Amino acid sequence: MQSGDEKEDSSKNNITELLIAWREGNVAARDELIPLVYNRLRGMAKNLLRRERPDHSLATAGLVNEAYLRLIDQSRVQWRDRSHFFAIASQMMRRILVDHARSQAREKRGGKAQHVPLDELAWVSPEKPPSLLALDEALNALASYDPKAAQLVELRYFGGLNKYELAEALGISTATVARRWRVVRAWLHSYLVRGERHEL
Amino acid sequence: MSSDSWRTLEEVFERAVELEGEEREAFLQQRCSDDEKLLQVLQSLLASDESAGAYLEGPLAEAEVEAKPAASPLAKGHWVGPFQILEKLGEGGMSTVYRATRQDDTFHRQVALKVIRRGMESAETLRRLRIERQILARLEHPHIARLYEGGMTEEGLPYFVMELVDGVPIDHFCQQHQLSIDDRLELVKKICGAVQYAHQNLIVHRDLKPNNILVTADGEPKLLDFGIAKLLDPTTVSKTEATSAWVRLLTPHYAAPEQLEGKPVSTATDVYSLGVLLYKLLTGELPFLRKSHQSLKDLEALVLSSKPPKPSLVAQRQRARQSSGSHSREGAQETASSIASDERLQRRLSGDLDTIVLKAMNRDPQRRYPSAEGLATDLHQHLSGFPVLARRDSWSYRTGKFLRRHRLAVGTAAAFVSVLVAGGFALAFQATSLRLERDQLQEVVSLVVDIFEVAGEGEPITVRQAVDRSTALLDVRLGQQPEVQATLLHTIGRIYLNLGATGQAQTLLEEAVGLRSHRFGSDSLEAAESLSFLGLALALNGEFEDGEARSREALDLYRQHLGTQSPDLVPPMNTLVGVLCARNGASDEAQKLAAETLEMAQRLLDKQSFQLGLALSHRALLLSREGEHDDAAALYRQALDLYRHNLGEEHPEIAVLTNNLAFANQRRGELEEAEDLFREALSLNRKLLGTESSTLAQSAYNLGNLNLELGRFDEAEPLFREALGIVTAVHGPDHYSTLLITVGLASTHISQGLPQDAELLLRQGLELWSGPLEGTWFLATAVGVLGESILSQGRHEEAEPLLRKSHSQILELRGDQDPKTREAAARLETLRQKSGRDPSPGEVLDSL
Repeated sequence: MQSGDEKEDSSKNNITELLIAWREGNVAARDELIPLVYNRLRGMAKNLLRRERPDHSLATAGLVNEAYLRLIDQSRVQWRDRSHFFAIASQMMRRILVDHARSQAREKRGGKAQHVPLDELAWVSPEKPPSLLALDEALNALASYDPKAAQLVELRYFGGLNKYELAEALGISTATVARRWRVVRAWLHSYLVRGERHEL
Repeated sequence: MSSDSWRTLEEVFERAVELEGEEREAFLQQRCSDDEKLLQVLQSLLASDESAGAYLEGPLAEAEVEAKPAASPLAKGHWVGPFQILEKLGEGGMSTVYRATRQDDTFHRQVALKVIRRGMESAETLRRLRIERQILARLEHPHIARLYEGGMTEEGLPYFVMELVDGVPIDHFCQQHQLSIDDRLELVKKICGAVQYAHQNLIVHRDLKPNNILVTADGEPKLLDFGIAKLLDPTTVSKTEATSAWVRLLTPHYAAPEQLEGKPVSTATDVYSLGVLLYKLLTGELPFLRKSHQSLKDLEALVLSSKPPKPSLVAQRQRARQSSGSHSREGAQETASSIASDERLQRRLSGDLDTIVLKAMNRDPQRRYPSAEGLATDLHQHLSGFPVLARRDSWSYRTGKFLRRHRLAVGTAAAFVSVLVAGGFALAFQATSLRLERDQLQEVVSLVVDIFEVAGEGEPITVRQAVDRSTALLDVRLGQQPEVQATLLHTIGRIYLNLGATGQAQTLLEEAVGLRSHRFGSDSLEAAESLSFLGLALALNGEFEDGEARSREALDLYRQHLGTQSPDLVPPMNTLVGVLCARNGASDEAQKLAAETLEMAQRLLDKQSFQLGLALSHRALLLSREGEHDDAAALYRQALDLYRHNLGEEHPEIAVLTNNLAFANQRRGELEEAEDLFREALSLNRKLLGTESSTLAQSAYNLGNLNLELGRFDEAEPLFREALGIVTAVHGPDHYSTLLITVGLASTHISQGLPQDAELLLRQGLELWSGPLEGTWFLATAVGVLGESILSQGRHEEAEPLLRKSHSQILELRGDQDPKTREAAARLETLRQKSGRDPSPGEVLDSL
């Protein structure tokens, strides 16, 4: 146990150092940081995804926060470091989950059970939630118009950030978060549910 | 689309969503006059915004949740068990309802067949489903759709066969027929009656909403799906599903805050939903309007954190909207103004109806109506033009009832006050320390009478208002006299104490202490007098330590003024003993002080004094708690004589004392005498308290227990049932007294040779009790009797763990000398005898 703790601590120190160095302008630190965080995040996500419980993925949104607590020594960083961390970790989480969904989709085509949406959720909204792959595609389209708008979705969905954390990470007020979210949501709804492809 | 045009889009969208109808259209046309594409995109996004509901508001992974395949709908002609499908009637979030028929000799009619669209996994779940179904099938009420039977389809989906109700949802019915406010209230009253009936059978609906309340063509409401929600609630059926998913299936507008929070559900939950129903029927709107962009979470947060606007305010707003010509978004919806098309509606709603609706919908379950019947009573009062007692929170329902009864029962005003004041702990106006002239005292007495007369009859007011109003009157009659005002506060505080309205008593006595300390000094006798009773109020409110400290401090002050041998020390000493008695049990300290008080009272007071009676009854109570029933009975008899002398033959306190004396006699083994006394207490309580007091329930319960002990099971049963009916209505089904009475009834059933009935009753109850009563000996006893009922049905292995658990818990809680522990040990012993292969008489007979 003791050696495990030590290992955990040293990697925590290392990741924290890199995060601070990145804020201070060291781009190499960022490149070194990303694979470290990615691997740890992927390990945590896989752990969750492996469990066969149907509600497993409900918890994935909390992973970014959990990773932050586990990987970063909070006594040494500033709020800006936290925002940076959330931004890259949310992006990674998106990639991890989309990869997972792709591999599942391949398995399904191989003859496994059909994916059926929960119709019991219908009263919440007449539309079923989008599949992860469709959402990923829509976000790519959205990012081509406005990367900030896509990032809002990424942080919210894949990072599991609440409105306060979103405001902090994006450097805007919570009221602005709410306003932007409303537009973005309408856009996603029109794209994903009503199948519209707008061009300006 | 470039980044720039996105920003433009964002900006115009944000302003446009704030506008409605033509205004929005005009704004869009103006902003996009030269950009047709932008206009199109905006219109598309705005349309999405309106129809998106909670789209994307939930956590991401809802998208990825795997579900079991939904059952394919059943076609016409398809058979489900013995029933043949005729047509699909409707589809809900989790079930599909069909019209079906069964054609054989015994049963020839159409029924509603409801198929639940999700499987129930374990054998345990199935077993429980069967038990629940049996309980639900017992509900027979003209306004509740009968549940005939149920089962499992070939695909493993549960189904229920119910009375087919030909009707429309209540909100539609009211709208179609343009019912008046009075007619709507009458309908809700009937619904309350049905809900109350189910609650008395320990069944909570959990999902009351217009779609579950149909009204037939002849205007009679029928409640559907009683208890069905519970069968589907994963937190009660199995632990494998997340509660949040379950909550999602409820109709959030009608769900009570505790349901949204995943807290235990009780009868108060149904009362809340009835409140929302009333709201909807009176205003045409739901209390918490969810805007299209709000998520379910936002709505939940709203329900949990804010109060709904008063119904009268909604009516006012609607009227304002109509006169300004703009329309609400749900244009097709019924509005309050269309319910009653004149301006008087708003006035009609404000006052009583506002208060009734908001009381039913109080966020705190404790502060709602104690029962559906309570709500019905207020609706009735309102309809018949009587003051509604829910009107102000501070006027407790019970107090009002008590007052009204006694206003009728007692002839003169002075006698009325003495009845109110005399009971319990002392006579309010016998206090020696009052520095008031006799005529001032008279003034206070008549004012108190006025206050309660006003409260009982005319326009309802708060006590605070009553006191303020009388103080103003006093100022006119007597000039500014804070001492008189303080006495008034003190006296009314005392009256509340005697009525059991201990919360109000505390408030008023605190004020009295403050005023008297200010006027006479904090170490004055006057301040001490109020302080002594404030201690009692605190103790009765559960703040034992604080209460004891205050009453002790008061007694010390009395001693400083009067020495240690004054007869005037007896009242504060009695009060302190009362404080110590409020905590269950009998500490050495309480015993010692009670004995000392009694000794002083016997030595220094008049032999006929009420304070002597009080000291006797306290001492008797504590002796009885110690198991010294012979001595207790003798003292109770003396106390009764003094109570009768001071209070007359018929007084609630006399019933309480008679009941206690009967109990002591039962414990002494004087069963016949006990029975006579219990009957006396019971009939006195019936006469004085009407049919809904918990004291009455206690008498019925005690007499039931005695009959059980005497082996007269068929006499015991109706008594337990009567008690159960009262207690579920007054305290709710999850109260410990409901548990005790249910255990009594179940034991009776076991003795009657009906252990299956006992098992059903206890299983049903244990679900409600296991949360709130965890770790009490009552709960452990219920578990033990459940084990006994199972044992009586020959399922030894199933009974054993229950009997063991019950015994060890009671042993731990009560020690090995307690009668409850011995009863539990006896139950366990029966198991040993039955399991040790001594053949039972039945088996011997069988083998011959």
